[in-house]
Amino acid sequence: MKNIIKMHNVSKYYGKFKALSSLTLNVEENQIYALIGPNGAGKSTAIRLMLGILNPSEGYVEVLGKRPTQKNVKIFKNMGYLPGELSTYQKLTGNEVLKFFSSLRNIDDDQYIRNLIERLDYDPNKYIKELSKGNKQKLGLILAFMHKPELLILDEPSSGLDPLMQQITIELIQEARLNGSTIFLSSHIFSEIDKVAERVGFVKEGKLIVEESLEILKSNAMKSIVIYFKETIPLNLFDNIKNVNLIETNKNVVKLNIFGPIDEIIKVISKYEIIDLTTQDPTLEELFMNYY
Amino acid sequence: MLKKIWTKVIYDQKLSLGFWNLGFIGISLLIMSMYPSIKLSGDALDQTIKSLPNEMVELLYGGAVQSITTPIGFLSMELYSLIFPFGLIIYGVTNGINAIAGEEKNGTLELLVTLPITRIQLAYEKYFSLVLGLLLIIIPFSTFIIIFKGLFGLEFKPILIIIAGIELFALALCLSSIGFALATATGNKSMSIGITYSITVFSYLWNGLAGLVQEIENTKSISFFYYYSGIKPSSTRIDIVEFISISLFSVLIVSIAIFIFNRRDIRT
Repeated sequence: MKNIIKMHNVSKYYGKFKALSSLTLNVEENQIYALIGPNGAGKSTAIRLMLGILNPSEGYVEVLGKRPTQKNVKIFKNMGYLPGELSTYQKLTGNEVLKFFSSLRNIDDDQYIRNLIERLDYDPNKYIKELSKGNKQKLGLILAFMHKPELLILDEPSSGLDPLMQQITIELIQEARLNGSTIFLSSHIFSEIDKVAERVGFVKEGKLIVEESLEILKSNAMKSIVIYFKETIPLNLFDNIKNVNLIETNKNVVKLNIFGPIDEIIKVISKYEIIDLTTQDPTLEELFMNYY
Repeated sequence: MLKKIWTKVIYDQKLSLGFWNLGFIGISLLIMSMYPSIKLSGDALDQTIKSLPNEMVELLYGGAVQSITTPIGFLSMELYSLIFPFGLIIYGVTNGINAIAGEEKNGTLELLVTLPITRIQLAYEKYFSLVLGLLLIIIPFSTFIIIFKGLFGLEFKPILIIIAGIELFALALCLSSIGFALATATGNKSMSIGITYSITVFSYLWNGLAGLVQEIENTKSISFFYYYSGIKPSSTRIDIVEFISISLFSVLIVSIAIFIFNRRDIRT
């Protein structure tokens, strides 16, 4: 699978301050990749390096097969970008901003733009200075999606949006993915990432501390299991299983936490009659908290 | 108007350009309407000016003192010595500095540089709009003076206004280009404002001082105001070499700045 974004050993210094430290990450074609981290962790710096807004102090960045430099400005034709906080022309209306950016992108057919306006319930007749944060975010999303780019780079796509619009944003991201786009996003909204991301990277103090597919990350993470046996079981039943943390044993009910695969537990409990078994996967938020 | 970078700048400035034009034409009308009364009491005014210390005359009018009773002398002293050049410099420097660094400070540059247009194109279009803005102010008030000068008894050849307009344009463009270049290369608005206006004031004072102090007289040409002679009866032709030199200087510093802008980080 082709890598659409490649960051190899990328560091970024602001004077003596190291905003990003030896970051290496790859985003495959048609993948939804989410970069997660607290404020100031370096997510926006990584995004700006991908867009050529900043130059790396060390390492190299490749986007759509080329370095995002001025020599390769044509790659921006196939990229859509939503900044963390959209700043645009206060004295223009939404319609004027859309007209300006679609002219610079040579978009002749505005049907898809109209469609996005309708879906996001955005009023383009208002001046930018009159817009709430949520409405500015809607405009930012339209500007990012309007040319159906190959690569979407979205910094906090649902920020400031109400739950309904967050859902529509998720749908837009999923539709773009189905149409062949690659999506790189950073977000604080774990439910959103949980719903869309295939691969996640956790960044902390400018360093990528873990990068894995969301599925594997969850399967390797701690799971909570509650087992209801028909009869009382021996207290030492789980003693020989690694990575098990017994939380509670109450006659025939056992609550435990386990890291990694649960096949060992299944083998042990299969010797007994079970009334019920429930497992609870960790949420992305719980995973995140484990790392920070 | 919102199809290109440079047309958008002019579109954004439509109101501001209107007011600048109103200001320049209004002040031209006001000053020109005073000429008939000045002509009557002119001798007394000429005597007053002659009685001023040479240093003051040199600094205020750059030594180009003519009789205030003549139409050329009147317009030169009242409009072309201070009001027009400094008005245009303020317009040009402000817009030159805001062209890239203003967008950078407002955060609007972040989206512009992720469009499929080069930073070189972006910056040159911004610079072109600055040039156009200056012309859109100079041409209307110069035309106004040429058309209405006769109404107030100001009789002289229109070519003098055209030549003075070209020199005004060269002077304002040169200092605006310095502002544009500094702000575009560094992204630092306040530093660029400070340096550009310091150069402007220094240049103006040096031009006056060099006319007074023999030891520095030969250095007068380092001042940008040296190449601006305002409106003079003898100025019926443009000094092509000077004009090209000043234009080349402007293009050169702007090109160096754009070269740096093309490679530097954008402030976010």
